[in-house]
Amino acid sequence: MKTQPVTPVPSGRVLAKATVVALLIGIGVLVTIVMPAEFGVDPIGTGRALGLLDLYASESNAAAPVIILPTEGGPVFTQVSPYKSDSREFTIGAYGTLEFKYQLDAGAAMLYEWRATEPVSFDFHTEREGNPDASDTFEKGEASVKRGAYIAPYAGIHGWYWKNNTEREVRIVLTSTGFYPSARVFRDGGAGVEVAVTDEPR
Amino acid sequence: MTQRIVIVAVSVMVAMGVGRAFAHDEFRIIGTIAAVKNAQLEVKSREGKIVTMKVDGETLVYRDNKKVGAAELKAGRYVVVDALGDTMADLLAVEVRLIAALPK
Repeated sequence: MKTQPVTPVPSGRVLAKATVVALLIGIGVLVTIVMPAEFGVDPIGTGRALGLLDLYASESNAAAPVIILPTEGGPVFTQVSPYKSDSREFTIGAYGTLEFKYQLDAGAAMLYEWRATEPVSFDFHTEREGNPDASDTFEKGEASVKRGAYIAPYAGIHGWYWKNNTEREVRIVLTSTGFYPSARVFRDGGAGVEVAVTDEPR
Repeated sequence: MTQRIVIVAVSVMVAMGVGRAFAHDEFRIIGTIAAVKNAQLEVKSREGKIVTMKVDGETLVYRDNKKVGAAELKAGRYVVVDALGDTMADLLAVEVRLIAALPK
């Protein structure tokens, strides 16, 4: 006669200990990681130490509605950097990609329009100064024309990643005005090259 | 039991932390499928380099802008792959377009 293997059943005391340990770990995770990253609450300083408060700030900035008060100074965003205007044309080969971003300080404004000869995939996103791995996408989709106003929520490079999903060459004309000293262009995934923006409006 | 709970909880905590703290870069690879095996896609780029990418159930495959099954990924076919990863050595294919010919 064969005997079935007996699976040991933990006693009530062991189960209670395990529950308490799991609860403590859960509270630990909540206090050290979840609260700083999700709610911006950092009771013991782990959020700042691990950079989790940046995640909260990033999400808050992306989601916060723009509130412009009709009061003195309310709709006015005084700028420090010199005012520039920029116009350039890019050609993206079949199935090619191109990335172009302006250097903007926190609070710096930009007005822009780009037009493509065919619809392209675009991703308007950022790379934070000092932490290029921290990136936020603010708008993405497919279009042949986009225009808008943008105020940088933090210092870094801010701009577009375009993908040509056709077998034909696509031309993109970008015009903008804003408070940027320079820009960077990245072609087909290569290393970025800094380009000067020297055209100051007369 | 307690050890298992601790290990699982810490693993989940670490996995969530890593996932949230780092964004991935997007890469576009244009080339010819060299092999498809074990949920991996090998593409020989136009520069002659073999790029290996993971594919999963969420990888989208298109031909003529229409979604097709992953079974269409066969050696010798020309593709444009959009993949996410930290480096070219650690990529997950997000979107694969089957194209008629490689661009010049």
